[in-house]
Order: sequence, then C-alpha cells, then structure tokens
Amino acid sequence: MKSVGWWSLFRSLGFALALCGLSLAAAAQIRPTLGFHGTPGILEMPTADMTRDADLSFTLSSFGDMNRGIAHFQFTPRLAGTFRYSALQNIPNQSPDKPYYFDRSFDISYQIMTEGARRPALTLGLRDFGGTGVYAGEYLVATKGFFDNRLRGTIGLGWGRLGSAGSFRNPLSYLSDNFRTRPDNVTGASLGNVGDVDFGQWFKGDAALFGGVQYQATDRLLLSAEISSDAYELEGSANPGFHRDSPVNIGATYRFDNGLDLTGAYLYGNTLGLALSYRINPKAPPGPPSGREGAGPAVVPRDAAVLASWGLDDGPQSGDETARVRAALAAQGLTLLAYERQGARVRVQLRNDTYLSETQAVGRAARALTGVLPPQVEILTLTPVTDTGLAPTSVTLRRSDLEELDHDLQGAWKSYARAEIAQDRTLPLDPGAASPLRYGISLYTGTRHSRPDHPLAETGLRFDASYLASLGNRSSLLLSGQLRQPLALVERDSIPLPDTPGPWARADAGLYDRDTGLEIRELMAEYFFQPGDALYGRLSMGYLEQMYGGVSGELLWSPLDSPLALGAELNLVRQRATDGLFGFRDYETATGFVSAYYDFGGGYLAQIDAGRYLAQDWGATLTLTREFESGFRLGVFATQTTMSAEEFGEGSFDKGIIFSVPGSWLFGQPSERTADFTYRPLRAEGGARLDLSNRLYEPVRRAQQLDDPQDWGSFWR
Amino acid sequence: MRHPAHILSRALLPLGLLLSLAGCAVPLASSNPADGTFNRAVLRQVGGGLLPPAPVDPRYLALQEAGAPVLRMQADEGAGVALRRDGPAADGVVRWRAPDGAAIDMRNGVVVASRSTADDLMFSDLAELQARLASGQPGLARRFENRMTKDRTLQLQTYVCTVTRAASPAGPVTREDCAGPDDGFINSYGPAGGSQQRVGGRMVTFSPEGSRS
Repeated sequence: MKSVGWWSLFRSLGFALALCGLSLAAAAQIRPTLGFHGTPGILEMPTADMTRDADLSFTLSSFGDMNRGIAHFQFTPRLAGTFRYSALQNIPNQSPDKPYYFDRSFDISYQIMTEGARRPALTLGLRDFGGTGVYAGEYLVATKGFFDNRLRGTIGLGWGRLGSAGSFRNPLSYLSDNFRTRPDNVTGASLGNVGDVDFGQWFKGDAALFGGVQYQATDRLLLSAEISSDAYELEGSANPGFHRDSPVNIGATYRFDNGLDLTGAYLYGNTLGLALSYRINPKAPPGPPSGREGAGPAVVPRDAAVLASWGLDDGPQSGDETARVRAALAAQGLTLLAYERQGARVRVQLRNDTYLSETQAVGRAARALTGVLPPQVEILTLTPVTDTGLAPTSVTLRRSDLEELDHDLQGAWKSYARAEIAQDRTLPLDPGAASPLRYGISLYTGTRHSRPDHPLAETGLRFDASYLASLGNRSSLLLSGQLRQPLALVERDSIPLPDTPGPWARADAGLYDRDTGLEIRELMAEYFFQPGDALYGRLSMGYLEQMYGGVSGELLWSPLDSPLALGAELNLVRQRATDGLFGFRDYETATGFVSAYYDFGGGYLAQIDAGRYLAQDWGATLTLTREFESGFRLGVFATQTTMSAEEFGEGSFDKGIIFSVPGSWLFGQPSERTADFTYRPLRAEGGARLDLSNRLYEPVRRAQQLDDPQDWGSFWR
Repeated sequence: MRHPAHILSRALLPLGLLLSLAGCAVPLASSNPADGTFNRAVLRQVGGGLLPPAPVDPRYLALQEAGAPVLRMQADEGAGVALRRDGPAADGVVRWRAPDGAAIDMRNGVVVASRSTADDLMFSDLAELQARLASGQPGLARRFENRMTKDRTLQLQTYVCTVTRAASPAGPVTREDCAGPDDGFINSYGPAGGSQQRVGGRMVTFSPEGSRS
C-alpha cells in the first residue's frame, strides 16, 4: 500500500501517545468534534470520546460526491446511537436514471472505559450495523488528552470497512480461525439487500490501525490530522471525481458560541470536504431557562386572603364560588370541568391545556384556589382529566400544608410526602365549564409513506373537531374527526409499489398520498372507561386511521405505584379506499397485541408488543425510549415477525426512530402538547401496526406522573 | 399532464418547510389539537415580527390598574422594570410581579424566591442572614438555596456568607459576601429598602418607589 511510510510515522506517534500513559493535567474534557460520519471523530475516523449525556447532534457533511446527514444521540453517558442518511453519486451498479443512491445506516458505540488521569478512554463501536452495509465496520479505539486537553491523541483498530486500508491479519484470528475471514456482503457488495443485523461479519476479516491527533489552537479553532484505514473501495471504483490517493486527512474546525461546529478538511490527498454540526441537549433545551409560562400564583394564607387581590374582583368574597374557582383556574390556563364543596373539602376536576407537567398544573391550581376559596376549606382534591375523559390520578392536599411549605427550603418533597395521591370518584360536569366541542385548524407536513428518496411527501391543512361527553361512573364518549387537505406533494408520479402481488397491508401506503382531494383521516366514536382502580378501557369504532377502518378495543392495567403496566388490544379492520373518503377495499384482517410497559426511572422506558400484525404476520416489537423533564423524547424500535427478511424485502425488518419535541419549544409559549415524529427507513408489510390516536398507555402514564417525587419541584413553578 | 397540486408544490413547499421548521406545521400528538390557544400560537408564528410583542401579563395589568405599590428593578444592562406588589405579605413574604409575568418574592427586602427569572430560586433558607440584618451584627451567615435547573430538577446549593456593615451618607449598608462550591456573589442591602442582589444569575438593583402610583 501507498500508506506504508505514513504508517511508520503514525505508529511512532500513536503508540508513543498511547503508551506513555501520562497526562500533564487532568483537565476538563473538551467538547468532542463530530467527524464527517457525524459521530465523535477526528475527521473520518472515530475517537473514543462521548458527547455530553443526552446530546442530540445533527451533522451535514459533503465531499467527493458523497453527502451525509446524520443524527447522533447520546442515550446514556456511555452509550450512543447514530442514524445516517447518505446520498451517494457514482457508485457501482447505480441505476442510470437515478443520480443518487440513498443509503440509511445505523451506528452504535459504547465507551468501555472512561478517560482517567493515566488511562485513555476506550470505546467499542459498530458502524452501519443495521443498514445497507455500505459503511459496515467495527472498531476499538482509545483516546487520551494531554497538555490540559489541548492535544488529544487517538489510536484505534478497525475491521470491515475500517480495516480495509493498511490492513493486516486480524489479531482475533489468533484466538479463533472464525475471525480470519469476513463473510460476504462487506463494504456494500450487495446494495439493496439491506437491513440485516449481520452478526456474522462483526470483527471478522483483516484489521487495520487508524488514528490521529487534534490540537486546540485557540478557544474556537481546532486542528485535526489523521490516518484513515478506510480504503473507499466502493466509492473510489466508479467515481471519477474521487480517488483515495493518500490515507492522510487534515482539517480545521471552527467552533461557534451557539454550539455550531464548521469543519473544513483536505481528505485522501485530493478532495476538499465540509461538515457542519449542531447540537442541542434535551436536558437544557433552547429557550428561557425557567420556561415560558411565567410565574404562577402564590399561596394566599387564609388570614391574608381577604386582602389578597388589591381590590381585584377575584377574591374569596366576590360572586359565585364556582365562578371564582373557574376564573382562578382559567387565569392559569386550566379549565374547570367539575367542582364540589362538602364542608371543609372541595373536589376539583380540571383539564390541563397549558403545561407539559401535570404536577405543575395541579400545583398552580392548588395555589390559585387558596386565593379564592373560603377560609373554612381545608382539604383540596384535584383531579386532572385527560382529553379522552379519563381521570387516572387525584391529588389531595391540605391547605394548611400549602401555607406552611410555600417558602420551605424542602417544600418540594415535603409537599409530595404530605399529599395523598390516588384515584378519586368523578363528578358531574360543571354546566358553566368549557364547551365539550373543540375544533381547530393547523398546518401539517411530512412523509406518510417512507421512502429514502422522498424525505418530504406532503404538506397541507388539517382540521380537527371533537366532542367529549362524560357518561358518569368514570366513563366518557369521544366523537372525533380529522380532515386533511393536501396543498403540495413531492413527486407524486413516482410513488413506489412493492414488487410482490397484492393485496398489501401497508406496503402500498403511497397510493393514499397520490390523491390531493380532501381526505377524512379519522372519523370515529370512542368509549373510554375505568372498570377498576388500575384498569382502563377503550372501544373505538369508525375510520381509525388513514388506511384502516373498523373496531378496536383495548384494556390497560396500570397501577399507580408500579413501574410495570400491561395491556391488550384487539382490532378488526378493513382497508379503506385510497381516496381517503368513505369507501373500503377488500383487504380485511384481525390484528391484536399483548403489551408490557416498564418505566425504569430516570426517563428510561421500555415497551414490548407481541401479537399479530396487519399483514397477518406474528411477532413482537421492542421500543426503548428516553424521555426528559423538558418534554423531549427519543426512542428506537424494532420488530421481528414470522415474515422472513426475503418476504419483507429491502430493510429486512421493521425499525425506526421516535422523536418528540415539546410544544412550548416549538411555539414559544407554554403548551402541554408535543410534536411527535416517527421515522421508518422503509414502510413495508412486515411488522405493520395500526396508527391509533388514542391508545391508553401514554395519557395514563402522564397523569400518573403526579406520583413521581422528582417532578414535584414543578408543583411550585 | 401534471396535477395542479404538483405544480403548486414548488411554491408551497418552501412555505411548508418554513412553517415546519418554525414548529407550527407539525401535527401534534395530543388527541385534540383543537383549541383557540393553539390557533393563536400558529398565527403568532406565521405573523412573526409583524405581530405585536407578547402581551403584558394580565395579572400585572390588573395590579397596575388597582394601583399596587411599585418596586423598581434594574439589571446591569437594559431598561429598568417596575414590579408591582401582588397581594399583602403572607408569612412575611411579599410577591412582586413583573410585566412579563415573572415574580420575585421578598422577605424584609431580601429575595427569598423567584419564578420565571431564569435559574429560578424555588426555595431558600436565609434565616441566618435575616437575623444578622435584624440585629445589625456582622459575622458569618449560611445561605441555603434550592434552585430549579433547566431540566426541571431541584438542586440544593449552600453558600457561606460574610455579613459586614458599613456606613454610607444615606445610612448603614449591609454587605453579604457569599462563597459557594461553584460560584460566589456579593449582595448589599441599603437603607429604605434599596438593595443589590443576585436574581436569576444576574446582579439586580431594587429601589422602592414607596407609594401607590
């Protein structure tokens, strides 16, 4: 190889750095740069660094007809995941009528050992382990900082694509011959046969060393140099604009104050590249540090309540008591649904239209009530009611506790400890409460049928309307509908259809987006009920989602003080007509699941759904999610069913990413809503489920977070 | 022939993208994203700078109309703000409300809590400082602060403060020099309720107007 000379230099430098084991100062770690692959890296090669816990980073990089968009998420302080979307030109076997080959790939990395005063950080990583295999490679890498971290050195051992240049016999092959050769389908040998998690290839075949150094020249400028062990055989073989002439890459990164990094690099001896990275942290999202909701009401002690309002007309002496309560809650963005006073006790049912945290809503309501309730009222029971009329949790507080703890240093946990949190009976609706009819209009955009070269499919107007009727005895009826009027489509003439004969359960979803007429997305009647203390039920009937109508039933067991919840769902559905109106097609099926949900604490959630999918395949879906107090949520899911990888086609199995952004961050004002995105690399037959709007677990869990002591700081916000 | 909606796409798609990025074009997760609040938010997003700035907090307007007492607040940079006293002292604590809806709670002129001021001081225990202010005796006073971090968790911080007293033309000034594990600051409390204190990570000067406006 041409790189032999460089290797000598590199080995001398790299091993010197790695083995000297000295650090002149144990300094704070610098923010790691994200390389051209969007993961912590020098330029093209990975480092052992991890980003800050929960950092969500986005990178755009381009060089040599290769463009990449990457999302990188630090799941835990030591575990990171990456999704990469690449647009490649001039690669072998590329269809001549398509200028780009779109590739999706997933990486995962785990920091085995953190960096210490005398030891490097050590990270094990898998690149493109669940995608096409274009970038498939594995690595073990060590990184250490020197000179107060102004200099960071990295040395690593790569396999697969990361072991394709300057390679030598795999050291693991001395332990077992199985590691001697790497099975087929390496470095994109079979584009299109994608989506397998190819355990059989990992750490097999020849290996190679890579590494480099990064020097923090100024507070904003970082200089990088590396030796790459990626031969770029695939891209270099058919790309007239790119050849790998040298293993050496050099670059400079300019770091802006707002978290933006701009990297320019001279790569592989003949190509200039640019990369732009931006990161946010859901633990400290952009926006005002103390939220956008303004200060809530203060607790008004009973002896001061008479004077509390400076002559304003919401004091405890003015007007009808229910009207005062309604006005006090409305001032906090809350809607009174029902009110009852019996002696020294009041019961208040309310709807939270403003705050992401139910605890915050209840806290504001309780404090607001102290300003308007008569002095003899001592016990307050507050029950937030969900949009579907369920009331999973009530909080009972003593007014004297509120008065005592308002400025207590430990007020948060003391108020939690003194509160009684349980289910309570429901009340008849307040006749003066907000209308049960709700409606609105909004804009939507996004792709409905996932396809790599259609990142955006449709934008338009969305109309929503609902009517909620309380039926008493902890049950309610919700009539709801959603209409959509598409305004713009992208390349509607080339919507893809599967090669296999129909009917299809989901693979022809694109047909539903061809029509630009008014579409009835949902139109249904739903009955919600609580048959027991920890039991919740739902019966839905009508046009349940874009592609299916029918009946759906669900039962959820979710005790207040248990991290475990169990559910069951059964649906009898028929496929709707592609025009999105009232008609149906021939395909009908029964689909159903049993589900287990587990809340590990700290925002880590797991869900397993096992059962029969829309295409009548049997299997299970595992979903792992991390949720932050700020309302951000990020998760991954994967489904394995009886449908084989061959039957499934491209992608091999259903998988994707879930991402939620709090409405307050998007809209610039307090909001209890979140904007949810689900990204699937491909939407195919296997593992397809109904997209139901009102599954029970999430709203029930959210209401039950009132029992989470960690959230009781919000009670006083 | 191309469908009109497809032709429209070139013009409308950038708009859709902009709206999406602005955060108002995304269907929301809630089952009923249908209320006036949401629609007003959309209008505000679409209107951007064309719309007037966010309205003054209604509670503040009501207090202003009722002639509630004023406390003037001045940060290191920017114009001063008139805080309005929100109700009588409860347990010795007076709440002062700002036009933007933020609030500062004071006991005997000392900030004991703040809301919506960035780095909110949720709870505090300043009993030792209050005792030294009342007695006029210099010495050490511990300050306990329970602050809410940006990810909505509470963080307890302890400062050890040296309280000293000095004369000034207007009267005695008490100085509170605090040192904590991560940071430090100096508050000062002058005669007639004037003070300079750290609020929301910034030094802020308070000067009472003393009368109903």
